[in-house]
Amino acid sequence: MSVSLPPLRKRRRGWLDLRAEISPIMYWMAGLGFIAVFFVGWWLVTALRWVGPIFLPSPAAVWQEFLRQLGDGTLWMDVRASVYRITVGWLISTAIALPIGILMGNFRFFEGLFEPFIDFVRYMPAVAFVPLTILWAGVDDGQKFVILFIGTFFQQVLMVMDNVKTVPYEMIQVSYTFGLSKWEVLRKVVLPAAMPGIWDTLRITLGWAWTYLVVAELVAANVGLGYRIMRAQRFLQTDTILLGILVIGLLGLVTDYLFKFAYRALFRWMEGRNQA
Amino acid sequence: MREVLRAIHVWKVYGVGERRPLVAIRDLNLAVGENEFVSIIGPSGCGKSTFLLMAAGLDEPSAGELLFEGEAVRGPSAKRGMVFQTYTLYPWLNVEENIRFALQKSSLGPTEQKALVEEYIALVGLQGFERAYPNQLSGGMRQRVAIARALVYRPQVLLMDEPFGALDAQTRRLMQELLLQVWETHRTTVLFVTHDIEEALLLSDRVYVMTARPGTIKAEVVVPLPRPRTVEMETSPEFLALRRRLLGLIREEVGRISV
Ligand SMILES: Nc1ncnc2c1ncn2[C@@H]1O[C@H](COP(=O)(O)OP(=O)(O)O)[C@@H](O)[C@H]1O
Ligand SMILES: [Mg+2]
Repeated sequence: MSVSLPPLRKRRRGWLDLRAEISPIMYWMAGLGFIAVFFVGWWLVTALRWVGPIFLPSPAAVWQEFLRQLGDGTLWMDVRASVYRITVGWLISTAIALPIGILMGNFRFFEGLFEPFIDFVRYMPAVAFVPLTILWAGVDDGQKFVILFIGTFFQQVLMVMDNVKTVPYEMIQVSYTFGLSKWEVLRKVVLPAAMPGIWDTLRITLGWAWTYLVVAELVAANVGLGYRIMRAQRFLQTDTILLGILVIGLLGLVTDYLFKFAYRALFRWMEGRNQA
Repeated sequence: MREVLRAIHVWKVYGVGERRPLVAIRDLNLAVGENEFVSIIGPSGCGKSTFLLMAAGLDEPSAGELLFEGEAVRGPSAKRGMVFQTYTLYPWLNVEENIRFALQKSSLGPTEQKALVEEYIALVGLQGFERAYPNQLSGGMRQRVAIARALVYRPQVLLMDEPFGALDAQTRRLMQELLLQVWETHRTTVLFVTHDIEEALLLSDRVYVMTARPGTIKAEVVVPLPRPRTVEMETSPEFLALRRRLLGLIREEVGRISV
């Protein structure tokens, strides 16, 4: 349908008005620009010698370290080992948190059964479990999985429970009037309705798993990004430390965006001006 | 007239056994005949939704009996359809799939189901929106889907809890006309809850007026306006007289609400 339009005025709403939309270009440029400013600032601080290289190595030094680790294969080995540990640890946590969180969100009994215990455990620092996990699970990857599990699971299960509880009760009630059984309502209504929220929980908790990597590789490791950082600390190799931190940040960012893009593809029905 | 629904001395008390139980419904009696359109009006908080949930089998009376086709209601069933005010469409299913969802327990084959869904989409005037998702629809269109979905599996009685309560005045008008039209063609038994007097009069054969909480039936008003009805009737002297009478009954109750 072609309509002949009068000359159109540009909308005069300011880009800093409350909740005002801005162009995607501006949005992305702002984000990239901020990161650029961060790196320039870092470069300036080191180039002008405001901070000594022992405390903060220059971007160039970190880049040198990156090329070195890339060349001798260390980086690739570390990334592979860490990604493997994160993936398995997070998957184990997710595999258990999903059914339990779903039970807790749907049945008050299971909420009452598990919540006090989970609230109790989730405040315990994962790092304090390191010596115990070595006794329980040895010094292999199994111990890393246990630490990542402890760091992820207890938050994850509570978040899944909340995701399930956001499903409006009326939606459940109306489903019964179509003759569905309790389990059918759970499977065909509650789960699909809670899915977008659960997907976000998976994304956020995977991010948390990355932050527990250093704790997981604190002891009894001889490969991994977290291990590399801890070892470099002993020799004051600040360029290695920074490289490790940056790589962890970058990998976290990548996984986060993968989840976000998948979300858009999986839940196209969420888009629209009227939230149902 | 065959009786579809009957409430006999129905009570509903929330928080039984607690320190301060709340009597929501007190000794309520009513009956709905086959192919009848009956409304319940009453001040907010008088127990209208509570009663409808019990009629659907989604909640139980604390005392008394609720009979559906002569038998006590035990749990929800596809024989009693329900339309709520909001939040009941499945946002991950498009219009067509939402309506088809209600046919899961039907014995019809896939092609018959598809035809039936198309028929009901046409009935509520949503042709062209079959593939739209609820988040892309306006409030009025969403309630059209909810109505089509509640009718498509042919429940014996349709329970509607302020289905147009969240809509703007214009849209509410249009939806009332649509419901009149649908009802004239299908003559489903309807029990309709509202707090809008005009709406109740326009749509119903009979109107029950409830008291303030604890709610019970205060009066029963027969609406002898001829069918098919139109919105224009709202200015007729009969309509205005009925309106005045209902307004008076409701006013007494609103004044009685203890805060
Ligand atoms: N699940 C519940 N638990 C406790 N009190 C409730 C519950 N549901 C409703 N009530 C109370 O019962 C009364 C009637 O509520 P409701 O049936 O929703 O009124 P209406 O639909 O007429 O506005 C209100 O005072 C309300 O607070
Ligand atoms: Mg209500």
